[in-house]
Amino acid sequence: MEEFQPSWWLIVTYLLLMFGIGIWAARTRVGRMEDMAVAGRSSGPWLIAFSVAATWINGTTLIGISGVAKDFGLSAYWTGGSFVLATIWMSYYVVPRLRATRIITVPQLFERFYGPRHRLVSLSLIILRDLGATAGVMGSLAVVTSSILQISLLQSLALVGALTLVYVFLGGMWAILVTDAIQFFIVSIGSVALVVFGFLGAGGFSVLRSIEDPDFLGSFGTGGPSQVIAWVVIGISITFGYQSVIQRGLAASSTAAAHKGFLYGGIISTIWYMVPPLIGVLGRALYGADISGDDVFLRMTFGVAGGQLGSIIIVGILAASMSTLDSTINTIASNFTIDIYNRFLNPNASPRAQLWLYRLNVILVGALAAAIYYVFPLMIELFWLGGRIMGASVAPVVAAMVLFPRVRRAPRTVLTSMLTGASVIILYQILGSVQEVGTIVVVWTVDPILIGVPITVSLLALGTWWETRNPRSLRGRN
Amino acid sequence: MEPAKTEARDERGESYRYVDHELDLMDRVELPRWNPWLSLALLVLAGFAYVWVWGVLLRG
Repeated sequence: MEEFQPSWWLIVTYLLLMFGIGIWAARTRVGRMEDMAVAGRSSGPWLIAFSVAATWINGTTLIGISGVAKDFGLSAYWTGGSFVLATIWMSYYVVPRLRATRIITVPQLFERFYGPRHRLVSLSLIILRDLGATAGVMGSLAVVTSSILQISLLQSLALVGALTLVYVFLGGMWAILVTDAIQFFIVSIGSVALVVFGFLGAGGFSVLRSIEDPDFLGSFGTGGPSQVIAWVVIGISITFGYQSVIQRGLAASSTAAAHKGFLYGGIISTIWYMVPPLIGVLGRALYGADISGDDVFLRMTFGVAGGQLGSIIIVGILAASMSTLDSTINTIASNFTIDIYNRFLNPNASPRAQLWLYRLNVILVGALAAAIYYVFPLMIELFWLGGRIMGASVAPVVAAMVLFPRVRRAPRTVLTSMLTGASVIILYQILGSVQEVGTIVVVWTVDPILIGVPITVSLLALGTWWETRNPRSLRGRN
Repeated sequence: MEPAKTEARDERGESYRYVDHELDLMDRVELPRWNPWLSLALLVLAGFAYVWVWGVLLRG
């Protein structure tokens, strides 16, 4: 890795481009808070599609899934594939309806259906996950940057945080949509080129014959059906409540644009998501089973690619992480501004005050995420556990609210289900369900979400039936 | 997937809560006729087919 000299002009050009897009968006597109949060609800389907795809692809995806594939084989596809397949499903069944409600944040919908208590509970569960994810992505980006620039982790955190915050601060969702589209193409070109040149350099697919395990290239890999089913359930449940992605649909110019954007973005990502597993299985064949899962992607980049291609891949990692980081920062800033400041602290704030408070929140969220990563040593658990807590609480409830009218009339059931789902995951974690924690790869004995989701869904179904069984009890709700 | 009439009520305070008849306005955006859970299961199956095809290709 020490011999690799990245192409600085490529990296600097990329960063200047992101900065330029931020300035363009601030000067021509952003005039009020809604422009920052959901691009004034005027985005077309293709911008949404590439942005959705870019949000699903980040540094953790590239480095983490390659590492999982080194141990679990081709079935590592499901660590990300389930998210993007659920995105396709949401394009038909969830996102157009959410777009039609004109909400900006998911907790807003909870208040409109059930009241402020539900809003606060859903807000806490969503922020727990999104802040952990923001810290995790920022951390993985900082680790890569510090090894390229040979600077300390703290300096690296400050650098990557500042670079991302600048264009989000200036252009909000508009800057994110445009930069995401560019970032998606850079990531795709770099990662696909790594696979193609990797296999060509190794003499084609025959290099994989050195791997003796017959399950390695099978549909369930070396982890077996239970592991794959856990990945499928996790991906689907987290996606249903993943506000950063849902907000792309809310930024669409119409319900039809929201549908198409999610459909196209889901299909593109579904195809692309085989790239990291291919890098992982190739890395296993080239470097053996003993290489650390966290090192596979970077070793492939510096060993197989090198030169200009290596520089493109480095820019690709930066792009992949920044495209996810900008989204989660923007989402939490919208939660802070709309769900806390506008709702509880200053409901009569002027549009100008809202806009500038939103921008300040962008900086606050970035600083908070960096502090969590640097100061809180269990950040990785927060990252993975927060997703599971959200996936077993808010996510199934959001899908149920959209699909089943009776759930919208069952406030007590919804609150109980969310709190129970979250508590089960936390309790299960306390009892010790994590088998192995790497810097990026986490292995569970039995994934807690396999316990939490069935409990939440059962409570939701039975409780809704019980709470709404008597039509008279529904009258006088307000 | 035409825009729903809920869009007519855009600017409201953050403390706004739907009155009873507004709870179902989002249902005006029609869903596909397919059962949603069957569709999800079929999508997952399509994912398995995708992984299987790659496995066959890589085995040569």
